[in-house]
Amino acid sequence: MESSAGRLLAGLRGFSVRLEPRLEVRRWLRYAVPLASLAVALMLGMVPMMMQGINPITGYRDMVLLAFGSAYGISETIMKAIPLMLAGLGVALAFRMLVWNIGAEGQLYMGAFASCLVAYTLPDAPAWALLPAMVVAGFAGGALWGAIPGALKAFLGVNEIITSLMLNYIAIQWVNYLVIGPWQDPSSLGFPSTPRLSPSATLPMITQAWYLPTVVFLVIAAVVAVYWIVRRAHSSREKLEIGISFLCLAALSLGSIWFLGGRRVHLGLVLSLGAAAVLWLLLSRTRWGYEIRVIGENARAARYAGMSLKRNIILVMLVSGGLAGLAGMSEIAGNLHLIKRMFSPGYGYTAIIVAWLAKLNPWGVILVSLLLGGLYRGSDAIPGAPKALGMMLQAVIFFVLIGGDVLVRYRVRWGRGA
Amino acid sequence: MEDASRFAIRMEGITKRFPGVVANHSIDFSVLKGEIHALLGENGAGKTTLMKILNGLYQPDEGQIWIDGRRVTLRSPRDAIGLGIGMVHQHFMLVESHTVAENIILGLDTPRFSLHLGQVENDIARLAERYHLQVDPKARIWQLSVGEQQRVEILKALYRGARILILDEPTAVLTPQEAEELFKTLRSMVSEGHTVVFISHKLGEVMSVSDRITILRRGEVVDTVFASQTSKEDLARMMVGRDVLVRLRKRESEPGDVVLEIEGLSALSDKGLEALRDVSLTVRSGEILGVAGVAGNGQRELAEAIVGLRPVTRGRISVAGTDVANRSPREVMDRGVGYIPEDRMGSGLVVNLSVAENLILKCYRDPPVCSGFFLDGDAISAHAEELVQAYDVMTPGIDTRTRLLSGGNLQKLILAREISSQPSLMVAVHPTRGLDVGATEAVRGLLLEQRDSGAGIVLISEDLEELLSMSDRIAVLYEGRVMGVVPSEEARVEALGLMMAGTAAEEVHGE
Repeated sequence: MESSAGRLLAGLRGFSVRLEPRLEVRRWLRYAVPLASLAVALMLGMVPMMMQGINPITGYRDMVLLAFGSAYGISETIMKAIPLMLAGLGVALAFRMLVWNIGAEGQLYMGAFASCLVAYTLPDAPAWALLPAMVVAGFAGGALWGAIPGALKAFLGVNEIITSLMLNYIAIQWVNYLVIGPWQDPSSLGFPSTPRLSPSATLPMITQAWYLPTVVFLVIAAVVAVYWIVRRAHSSREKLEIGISFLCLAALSLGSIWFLGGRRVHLGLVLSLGAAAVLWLLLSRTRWGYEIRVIGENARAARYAGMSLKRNIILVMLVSGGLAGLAGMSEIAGNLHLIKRMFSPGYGYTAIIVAWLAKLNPWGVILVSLLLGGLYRGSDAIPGAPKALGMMLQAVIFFVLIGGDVLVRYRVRWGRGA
Repeated sequence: MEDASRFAIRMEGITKRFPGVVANHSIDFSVLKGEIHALLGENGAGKTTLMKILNGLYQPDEGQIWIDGRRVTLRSPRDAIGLGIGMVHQHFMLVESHTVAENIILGLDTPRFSLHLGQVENDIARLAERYHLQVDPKARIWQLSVGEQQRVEILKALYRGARILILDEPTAVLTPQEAEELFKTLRSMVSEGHTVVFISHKLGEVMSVSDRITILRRGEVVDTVFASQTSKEDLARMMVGRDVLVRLRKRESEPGDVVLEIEGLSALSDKGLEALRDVSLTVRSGEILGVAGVAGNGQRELAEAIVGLRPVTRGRISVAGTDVANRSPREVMDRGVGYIPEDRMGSGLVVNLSVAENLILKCYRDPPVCSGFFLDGDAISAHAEELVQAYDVMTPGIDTRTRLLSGGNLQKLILAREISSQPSLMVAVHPTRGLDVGATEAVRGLLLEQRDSGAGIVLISEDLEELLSMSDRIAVLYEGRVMGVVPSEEARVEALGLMMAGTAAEEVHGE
């Protein structure tokens, strides 16, 4: 007598689902699959919303409206996106070389710490000296924090995933110790935060007054772009890339002044876009970028070509951590103006999602950051929804998009065996 | 159909398309019960694809299959083994740290809970004896030679009840003597009522073992013939579609100064075992030193040690007079050493980068490609255009991703890059493996041209014919030792075979 469970098992065994690699990926699939995945993710996201008694349709509508429905909403979304952009760029750089830096969160905290250290030590310095010093300090703080797992990996072969992750906790608790200990604002009545930064230590907001310097800057950029197109680019695709990036730069900068001028958006946005441009240039046009790409694609070939893995691991972790450090610096100096306990709602972790969804492309990081920034902002929208809802949606989107990626590269075959 | 029962396998109108290629084009293929049937064809002719369809690894786009007269659909190797079809792949699918017996029962449903390995070992021993497949069921795979591992794979199929055995290029990894053993086993299997299909591109063995031969070319069946009614020449013509390579006409070599001198070299394999033992070799400019040996006898380690990719535990490697043992690949490269690695896609090229980007892999630091921190796009494209043209690399453009090129063009790309640095010593590992006739000729021609223009060449190959026709002298490696170095005009295939199996040169010649 065979049990029904046994029969079921036998039935399942005959049934097979197999993935066959597609040798040629159809172009439309590259766009159709992520879009379909997003739709699936949003549908899955309805489940926790309904469990909370929220109507998912109005819930999503409110979220989109809050994040992107008004100039104010968009500027708030950008505020959330800035740290994601900077940290996401850092993570993307490391991932390009297959160095798995999971420590952007800790590097972000150390960047915030280092920049504030400068600000509190030099309270009377003028903004023109203090802000650049804070930028350098923020970068350095994150860079050194990133260099620890980098050096451990390069010299001792220690897995950087574990070390960079563990260092997050140390960094976060270090900053927590400061805000409830030596750096606590005596006038805060026990609230765990540092004193407000002086006005000269805060990043300026974007205002209408920026038009003139921006136009001057764009003229210089145009000259550089033309020079590159004429003298350096070695294919029409490159020329097109340079042209498009310049136009994007112009449209973005002028557009954001027009649109965001006088709102809360700060210089961190310019910092992020600049970092994306530098990173893109670095990866595609320089000797070092070439090394990073070769190592990431094929470490054996890189070794044969005489590229030093150790040196590059440490360098990449320095820059990757530095960018995450800048995220912390800009968040404090641009947005919060003081360090609170646990001031980052996981920007450094979300940066991993950002980098991955952006396929490690610097410009992709900017776009994805805006979307996920909208999610952070939007999840505040629904009355009665727990804070965790936004995180859940983030996770669902990430899962489904990464899972959907398989369908772009593989074809599913299923059927019942003979 | 009365005689349907005579056929073990009948495939009709099998078509399998991959994007851009038709791997099998309406193929009719049938195998009689109890015969040894050879599937002959060049690399890329579609032999392996056809057999993977028969093993359920691929589904055909069109066509029908009958096994023992019954119409079947094969969706997985599990279906295939259910019908008594077992396949021994070119690359063995064994767990190195497990024993023979454990590997053989791996993936089986029975026994479901309690495992009596002793019983299994007895069964295996009995099977092994019956088919002359001597192997210790308790031995661990890593302890076995390649030939023994192949026996384990065959036993695995037999243990699962395979009556039809498919072997994909079974002799590629064997010495001539081991191959002869294998053929004995195959004959005894056939006499017990089994059916054997084996894939090969070696004419000699196909003629000597098989009953019938099916020749494939470019995904189509050329003909099926009886081995007793054909000749090597006929087979070759059908296989290639034109008269075969004439023996390369090469000039008398003019050896000059010593470019490479290896003395007492020892090195470890990836597993930390001694892979090279006290190897001493000399290469002069203007000559080709062939290195023969069965796969895995230290050839790869030798090449890697010379180019600086593998640490050396003892000995000296001097290139043009300076010791480069344990120097970095870059330092070795700068002394004028070029390298054609065994795995083109693995260490020779970065397949996700463009053709142009791959061509600068060795010179990306130097002007004109690099000026300061930035790479010079114009110089990169000029460099690429020049090499692509000079070496006749077929590519849609220099910005094409390298992944999209065919095997022959990948190899030409590597040759272009390595030769363009004007090396005084070239280390070439299996430079023509997997290439079609045209590309093989081109690659061999380029290497000979290098020799004639004064470079010294170390040519590592498993293809004895290639070694005999290209080299000036041939060294044979066995278990990391040099068994002897013989001038190629004096070398006989049988003698080389004995040396490849571990007999020293003096003994071979003493006979």
